[in-house]
Amino acid sequence: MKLLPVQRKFVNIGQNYALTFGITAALWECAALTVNSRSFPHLNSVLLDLLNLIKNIDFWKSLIVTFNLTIIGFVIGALFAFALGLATALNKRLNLLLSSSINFLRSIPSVVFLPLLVASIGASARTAIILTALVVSLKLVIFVSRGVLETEMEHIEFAKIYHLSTFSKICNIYIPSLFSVVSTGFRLSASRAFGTVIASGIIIGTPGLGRDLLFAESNAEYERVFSYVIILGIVGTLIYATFNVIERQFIHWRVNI
Amino acid sequence: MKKKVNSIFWTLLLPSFILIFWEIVSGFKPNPFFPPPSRIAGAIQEVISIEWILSSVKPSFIVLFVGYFVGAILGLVIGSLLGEFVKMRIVFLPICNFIRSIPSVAKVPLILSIMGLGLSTRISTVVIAVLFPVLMSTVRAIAATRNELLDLNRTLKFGRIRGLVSIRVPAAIGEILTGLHASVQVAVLAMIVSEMLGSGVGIGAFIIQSQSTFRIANMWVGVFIVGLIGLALNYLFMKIERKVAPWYFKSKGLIA
Repeated sequence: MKLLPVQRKFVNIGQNYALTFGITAALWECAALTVNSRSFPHLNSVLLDLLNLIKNIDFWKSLIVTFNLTIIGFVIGALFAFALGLATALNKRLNLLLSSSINFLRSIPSVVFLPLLVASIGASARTAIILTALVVSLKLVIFVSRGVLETEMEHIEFAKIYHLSTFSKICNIYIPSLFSVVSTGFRLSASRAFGTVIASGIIIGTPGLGRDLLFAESNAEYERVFSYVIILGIVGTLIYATFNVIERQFIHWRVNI
Repeated sequence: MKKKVNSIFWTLLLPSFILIFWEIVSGFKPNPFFPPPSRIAGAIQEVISIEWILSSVKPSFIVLFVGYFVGAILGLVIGSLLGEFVKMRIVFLPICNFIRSIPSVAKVPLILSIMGLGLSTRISTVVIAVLFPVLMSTVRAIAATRNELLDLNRTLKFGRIRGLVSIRVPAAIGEILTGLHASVQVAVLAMIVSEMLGSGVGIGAFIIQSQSTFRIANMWVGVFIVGLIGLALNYLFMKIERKVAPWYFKSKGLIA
């Protein structure tokens, strides 16, 4: 039977993924045999454990909590980044005033703030949200200000000719034009937001998948540790892919970076 | 000259204002978790000594630098090969992408459970955290070599490996450096997390221990030092980038 070009493409993709999975499985088994300890389980036992994990209702509850914290932290951080980015890009003085402090905060790995947050407000969901919002805003603010600075001069001239107010200039000229730059920032900071929620779960035990992973590790449930890490990889890939699709749909004129 | 003084004035205005405000407020309303900057300065004098540097800072630096270099070199080599050989790329890229998508902090418990506590675990954490972002950015940069350069390679009859080393990698150097720069932050993060989770050694462990023994001023000292290390490495990288590939960083206007 002759295949259509589209069908052939799908068959090819399927073959490639099967090959990738086969090679990964072979490498995994080699590593498990070399390490030969309970802490590096064989692939089949991890896959069995993964099946058990996704049948567990508590896992789904944890996943939803993780998503909620990520989304809330992301939205707060993004709003803050837009305000700060627009203000610093449109006002040179403000930029000089804030840029050194922003750069200093950006150089500190976010997890360093966790002990401080725990000491002052405890290890609750709020802690994870605050840290996530901080991480997202520090990451995104640079993209927002770069986006504003890259606005085409013709558009700015246009706003001048029509005597647009500052507010309508921001809404009608700057925000639409900076979206092409910021979409990359969204994609990167969404992954970072997810990573931060997981990190605060692992380090200080805020609710979510991070805490579950740490419990599995401290209870020496080695298969479970691998299962959680695989799940986190899948979720991370999905977040990245979702933002990629959104970027292509809405900002199709721009070549993907 | 006047412009420079002006810019330094505006740059230092906010940090000094925050410090003064913080000092005054903590004088009126003391908060145990936000000790006044004068007390943190006192703690800096108290904490920083040769022994402390040898016992806390040196191990962190060893983990950071060894881990970063090994991870970056592995990432560059594997990334270049995957960029050059399309068939290898098709098979291995999805799995590299998957591993990169796992948050770097989440890999730490996994490495801990396989390797236990120790120097090699901490170094491996940094290696793995750096390897995949560098690898992905290198693959992307090499795969995007312009057609003219590929034609040049064919004309010069360089062959694949020599063409890769002499033409494709130099052409992609700007993007590769951006990837290397971005992974410096990831490396510092991985170092701190691997120290925080039970190793008892390094600046990360110092911060956690200070917090759990309520020596809050010392914890602030740790936070500031990590910030300074991050800032210094960032600055160093910016200098290297502009030295190695001035055309790329000028034309892209990537001024952080």
